[in-house]
Amino acid sequence: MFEIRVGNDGEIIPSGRFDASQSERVAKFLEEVTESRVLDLRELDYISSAGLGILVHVQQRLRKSGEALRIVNANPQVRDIFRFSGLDQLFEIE
Amino acid sequence: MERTLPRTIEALEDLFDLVRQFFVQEGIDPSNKWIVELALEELFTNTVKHNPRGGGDILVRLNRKDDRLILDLSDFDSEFFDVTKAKLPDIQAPLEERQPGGLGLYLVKQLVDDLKYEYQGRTSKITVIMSLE
Repeated sequence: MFEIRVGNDGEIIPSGRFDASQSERVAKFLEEVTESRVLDLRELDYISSAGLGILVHVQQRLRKSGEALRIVNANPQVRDIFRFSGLDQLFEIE
Repeated sequence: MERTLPRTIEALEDLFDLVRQFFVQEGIDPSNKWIVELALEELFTNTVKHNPRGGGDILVRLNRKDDRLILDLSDFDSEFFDVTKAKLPDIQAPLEERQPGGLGLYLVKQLVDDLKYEYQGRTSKITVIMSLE
């Protein structure tokens, strides 16, 4: 089960399991993001390389205009995945 | 425990269900279940992407031997593609130089103890070994 929504303060909140079968849907959702946003991962249980690839692509696009995604509240597993893949160097993570 | 899965990304739900059942049956602490799920997802999706026109389903097997898990995927109609020798991404590269592809296999290699590839008679078999400790 996976959902993605915008919170009350404009933060993006994916929840559940972000596996490769959700890639197209998430990529389409994030196409609308054109300025800096918080990506709140408090409800994200799982992410694989398909999801990481989409986040990198969005970050590349945003950085070209001086904007960025900032990640907050990732659980330890998700943090590990970001670290193992070197994405902790590409995103500000709190 | 084993299951044959159709050659489509939508089969991931069944793959994760297989992992859940296996952990329950074997009474394995679920704290490391995400590593098994991630390894199998990456290898399964890699197989689907690299061989979309292959014939038939993909066989996934999960076994426990003492304190080790042995996972394997068999694709019975495939070209040779040795996942253990695939080009891996530079994870130190700056954002603008990051390219899509390869990250899944990189993560698998980071997370498991051993990754093997065998090819015989158009069958590709990928085996993952990981410690439960």
